[in-house]
Amino acid sequence: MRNKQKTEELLKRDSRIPEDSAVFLDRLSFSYEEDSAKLLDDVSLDIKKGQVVSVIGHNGAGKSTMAKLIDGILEQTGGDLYLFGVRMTDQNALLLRKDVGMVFQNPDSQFIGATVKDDIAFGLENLSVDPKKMDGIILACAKEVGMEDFLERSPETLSGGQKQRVALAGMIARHPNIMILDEAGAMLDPKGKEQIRNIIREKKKRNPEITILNITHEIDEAYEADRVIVLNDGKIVLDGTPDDVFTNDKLLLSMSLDIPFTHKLVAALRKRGIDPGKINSEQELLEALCR
Amino acid sequence: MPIVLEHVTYRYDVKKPESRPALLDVSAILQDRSFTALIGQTGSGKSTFIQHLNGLLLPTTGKIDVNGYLIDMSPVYKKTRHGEVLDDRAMKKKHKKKQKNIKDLRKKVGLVFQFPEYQIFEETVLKDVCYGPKNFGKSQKESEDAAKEALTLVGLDESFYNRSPFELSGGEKRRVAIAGILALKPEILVLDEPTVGLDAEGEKNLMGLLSTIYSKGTSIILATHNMDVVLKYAHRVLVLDKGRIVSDSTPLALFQNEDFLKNSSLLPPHVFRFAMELIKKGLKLDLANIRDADSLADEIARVKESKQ
Repeated sequence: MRNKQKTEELLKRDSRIPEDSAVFLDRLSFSYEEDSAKLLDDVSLDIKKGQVVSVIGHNGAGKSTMAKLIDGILEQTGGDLYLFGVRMTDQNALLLRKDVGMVFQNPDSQFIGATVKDDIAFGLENLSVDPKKMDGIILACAKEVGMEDFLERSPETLSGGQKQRVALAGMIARHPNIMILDEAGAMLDPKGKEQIRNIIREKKKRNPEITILNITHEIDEAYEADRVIVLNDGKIVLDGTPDDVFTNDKLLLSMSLDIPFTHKLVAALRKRGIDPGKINSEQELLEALCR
Repeated sequence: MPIVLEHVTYRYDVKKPESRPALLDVSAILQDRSFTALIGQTGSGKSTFIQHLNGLLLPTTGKIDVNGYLIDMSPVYKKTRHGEVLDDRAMKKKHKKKQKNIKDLRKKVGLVFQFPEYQIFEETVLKDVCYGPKNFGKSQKESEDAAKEALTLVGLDESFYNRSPFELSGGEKRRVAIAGILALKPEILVLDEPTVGLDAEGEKNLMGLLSTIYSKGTSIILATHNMDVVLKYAHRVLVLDKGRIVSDSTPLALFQNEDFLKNSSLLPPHVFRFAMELIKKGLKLDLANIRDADSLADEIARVKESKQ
């Protein structure tokens, strides 16, 4: 009873945070040492429950740092972080982290088990899942990512892309309410990437309340989100719908970022004296050029 | 310096005969001064293939010849009453035998792993890049000279020498890691997914660097999922599927082969697909001239001008 009371106290919502907020950052900052540069600098952000958010930015912009702070792997050096309205503290970080699942960019950083099966089991053990049910859950998740034939394999016999699939299986087995994907498909071929996107879409369809943060360098992928956040030198420089954000070609290019293919081609054509007029889609560009 | 692979098969777990080979009967000649891309879906054998090129993995069976450096794991047969069978004992001996002078091979073929920046460990950039040459028996002075030359090549000037590699950006760290291999002056540079995790600018800079290295006479072999890179830079592309080479052609031929692509996990780059659509709609573009959005714009301009 006392434990229950204690847990309730640790997970008490702060009434100042909006009810529909999943991730709330209040002037969040992080640096490895007091006098070193801030990798995340005074960032405030409210990500709503069920939102799909793409986070883009150049290498070193602060994307992975932000993800690791939300996942509780790193501890902020300034500001506050709230998950579902609960302020994350040293005391409740482990409890709050149960709601967060993350797939890292480099799958070697998170492969813990001696086999694929052990690795998927690790997260479930931490959630105290009934061991009798575990095999069934592991098999179902491995099937979802196409790794069911590899359950007894050790990590060193897997390719980078296969390890990323295992990491994804480990995450979905835990049914987190917040999913963070840090370039989770970077080591997969185009169809493998599409498969991962389908798995996430399917999860979202089944549970629209899931909040997804997708860190990516791929514009087509970023376009699929409800909202795109652009980080530069640890600060948010753009935040809006994909259409709003990706009209800022010059700003994106100045930050070493890619722009949509259609925008790139239109700019290159204009430089050569060809003006296709106002273009809103690839199809429109195709038709304009063949007129 | 060509690399010749003859009937190379590799199993990660030789003790389990039922295990699927990661490479199966692969034969190929990788010519001197070539820029070759290795593509194929996750687990198709790309990383296994390239780890054979500098002897990090030895074939379970088959032969690899790197300009006279021979790794021979071709099967040995023994005679029995019923004919010839594989001599397991002799094969085991071959596998146990440590390859002599493997360092000579590693000097010729430099291998850059996936996420090479995770292998950086020294406290300064210069020390980290010196590590390879020193390990290969060079003096401090020779190692430093080689390291400085390699760092210049990757675009890191002397202001980086005494900095901690850990405070650099992802793209810079990767440059340090590549410099560590270049300091060994390899004749062939092999890279596993070199552009993964880099932003657009980082990717452009890194591929520009590889083009420079290639133009100075070093062969480049890279495993990648990045089809934009394949189209823009590679001269030859090998497609691996379940450990076998299923296609060996130019990027241009591969990306036009619709029947092959339909049954594979591959997708031509966006720019190529768009150019194909324009051609289908009647624009007479020459696909051979198209490498990226800029060259497509050039080609569209050329066609529009010739019409007038």
